[in-house]
Amino acid sequence: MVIQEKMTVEEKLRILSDAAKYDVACTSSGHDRKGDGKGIGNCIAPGICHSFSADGRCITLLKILFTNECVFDCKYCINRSSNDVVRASFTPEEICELTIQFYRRNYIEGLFLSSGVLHSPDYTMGLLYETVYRLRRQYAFQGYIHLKTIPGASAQLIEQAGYLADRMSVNLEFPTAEGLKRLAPHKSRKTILEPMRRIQLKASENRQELAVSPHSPRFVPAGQSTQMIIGASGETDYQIVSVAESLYKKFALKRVFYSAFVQVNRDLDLPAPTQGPPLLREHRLYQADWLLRFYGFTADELLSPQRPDFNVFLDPKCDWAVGHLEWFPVEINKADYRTLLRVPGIGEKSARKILGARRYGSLDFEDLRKMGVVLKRAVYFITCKGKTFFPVKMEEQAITQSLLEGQGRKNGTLVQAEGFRQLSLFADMGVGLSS
Amino acid sequence: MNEKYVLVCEDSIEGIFTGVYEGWRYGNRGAEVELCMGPPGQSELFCHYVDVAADQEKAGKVMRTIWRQLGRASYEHLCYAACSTDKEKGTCIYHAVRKGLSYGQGNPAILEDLKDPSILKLSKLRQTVWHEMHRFLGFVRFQEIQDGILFAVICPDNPILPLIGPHFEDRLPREDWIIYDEERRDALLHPAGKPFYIVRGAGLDIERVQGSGDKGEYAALWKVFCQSISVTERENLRVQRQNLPYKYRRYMPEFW
Repeated sequence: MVIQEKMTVEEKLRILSDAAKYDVACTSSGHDRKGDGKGIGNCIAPGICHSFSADGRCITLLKILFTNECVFDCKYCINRSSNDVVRASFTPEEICELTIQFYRRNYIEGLFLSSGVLHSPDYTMGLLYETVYRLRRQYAFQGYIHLKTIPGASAQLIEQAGYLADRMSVNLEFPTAEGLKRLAPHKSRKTILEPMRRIQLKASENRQELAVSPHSPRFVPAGQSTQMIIGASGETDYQIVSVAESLYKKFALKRVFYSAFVQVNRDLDLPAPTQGPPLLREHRLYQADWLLRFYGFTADELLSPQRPDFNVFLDPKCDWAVGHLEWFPVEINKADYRTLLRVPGIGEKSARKILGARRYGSLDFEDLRKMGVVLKRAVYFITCKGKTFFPVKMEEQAITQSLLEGQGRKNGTLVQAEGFRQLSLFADMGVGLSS
Repeated sequence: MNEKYVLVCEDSIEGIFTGVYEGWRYGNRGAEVELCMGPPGQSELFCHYVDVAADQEKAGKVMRTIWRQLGRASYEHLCYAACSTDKEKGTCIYHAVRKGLSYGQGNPAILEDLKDPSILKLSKLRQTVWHEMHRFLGFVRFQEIQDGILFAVICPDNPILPLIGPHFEDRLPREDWIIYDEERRDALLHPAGKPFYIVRGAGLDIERVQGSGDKGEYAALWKVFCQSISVTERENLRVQRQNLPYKYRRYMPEFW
C-alpha cells in the first residue's frame, strides 16, 4: 500500500471518480424543487444531462466516492481490501467546495456520493452525513443529492441522511442471495434489504405527514433506487427481471439499474475473462425494465423458467408480440391506451398522440408515420380503418423473419460491436423460434 | 377566390401574437391570412401586404386569450413553436389559434389534432425547440470573469435565450451571470437578486470578456473528472457523438 501525504484535490478527484465509475445511476430525475431565492440550486423532474463521457453515458452528477479505502473484500470490486490500489479520501470541505464550484459553472446537476467502508459502516455513513449536512446547511445547496446507503449502517444515521438527500440507494449487487454470499462475503441480503425497507416505510410515513402539513421536511423525495451487476454470478435474465419486478412492487423502488459486469479483478469465483462486458444483454434488460414500469407487462409474460433469457435478435416487446399473435391485429382507431402500448413500434408518446388525434377523425398509416410511430415494426400488428398496410401472414415465423430483415443492418453492426459474432445466426434463430 | 392578406411581422413571440391580433379581422371577413416573418423575399400578385409593428398591448390580449381559452399547455406549446426558425410558424400559429377558438368555447385539446398539417407542423417545431432548449440547460458552461461574474457563450440553432432564462434565474439567484448568444449577438443578463432581461444585439467582444476571467482551475478539474468517469471497456464514441454533437463541444471546457 502506498501511503501518500498531501495529495492534491486533482489527484483525489482522479482516483475517487475513477473508483465510482462502475456505479450506473447518474440520473437527477424524480422531482421538482424550485430554488428559494436565498441559496443556490433547484431540481427539475425530467433531469438534465450535462455532458457525455467517451463511453456514451451521460454525466449529470459529480459522481465520487468519499474514500476508496474499504474493509470489505467483495470479489468483483476494484476497491476490495485485498487489492493493491492507491487509496485516497476527501474531506467534507473539499467535496462541498467542488460541488458548489462545479454547480455554479453549470457542469453538474448535483452530487452523487458513495464510499468504500472506512473503519466501519457507521463511521463511514457518519462522514457522508456530515458532508451532505454541510452542503445543505452551510452552503444552502438546493441541487440534487444522491446518497449511497452503506450496508450495515445504523437505522438512525440512514434516517437522518434521508432528510438531506433527494435520492438514496443501496445496491442489491446480485439477484440471488447465493451469488451475493459467494462474491461479496461481507454483505448479506439482510444488510441490504433492511435499509431498503426502512427507507420505504419512512418515505410512506413522510408522505402522510406531508399531506397534513405540506411544509414539513421531505424524506428522500426522489425515491430510492438500486443496482444489479449483470453477468458475474451466472444468473438468468428471468431471475433478474423477476427480482426487479418484486423490488418495484414490494419496495416501491423508483429505478433498478443494471450494470454489465466489467472484469477488474481476477478471481476463481468470477467468470473467465470474456471479450468485454455483456452490453447487449444489459440493453435488453433495460428494455424489459421499461416494459415493466410503463407498459404494464409482468415478468412472467416476458420470460419463463423454460425460456429464461431474452432473444438476442429481437427486442423484448417484439419478442413478446410474435409469441402472442392472438392479441393482434389491433385497430388503431378503436383500441384503448393499454392495448396500443402493447404494439411494437408504439411507445407512450405515440399512443397518447393517437388517442388525441383520432378524436378529430380516423387515422390512416400515413398519419401514424407522421406522428412518429415506427411503422417498420408496427405494420405487422395493426389495422387502420379495418385494413392492414399490406397482406400480413399472421404467423410467428413469417413475422419474425420480416422483422429481422427490416432491422438486419442495424443489428448486424450491433452484434458485431458486442462480440456476439460466435453465435450462429441460423442455429440461434432455430432455438428462438421453437421455444 | 378569397382575398389574401400577408402580415409582415417582427420575428419574436410578441411580433407573432400581434400579427394574430391584426389578422383576426381579415379572417373574420373570410380572407386568407398569412404571417410573414420579416420582409417578404418575393411579392406575390393579388394579395395585400400589411406591415405590423410589434405591440405589447395587442400581443398581451392574444396571449391572455390563449391562456384562458386554450389552456396553459397550449400556450407554452405555441411559445416554443414561436421561437423556432421556421418561416411558416406564424401562419401555423394563426391557423391553430383560429381553429381552437372556433368551437364557441376555446378547445384546450386543439393542438392534439395532428391530422391538421399546420398543427402537426407546430408539434414538430415545438419538439425541436424544446429539445434544443433542454439540451442547453445542461450544455451551458459558465466561466468566472472579473468580480465573480459568470459568463457563458452559446450558439443555438433557435433563439432560445428567453426560454432558458427562467431556469437559470431560479437556479443561480444570487449570482451575476450573462449568457451570450453568439449567433444573434443577444445577451441574457442577470444581476444578483433581480429578474433577468435580454439585450438584443449586445455584440460583446467575447475574447476580451473571457480574457479577464479566472485561470480555469475548476475547468481543469472538470476535465479530469470527465475523463476518469468513463469506463474504458465500454467506450462508444458513436453514442457520445449522437448525444453530444461536435457543434456544442466548442463551448465546453471538457473538450478543450
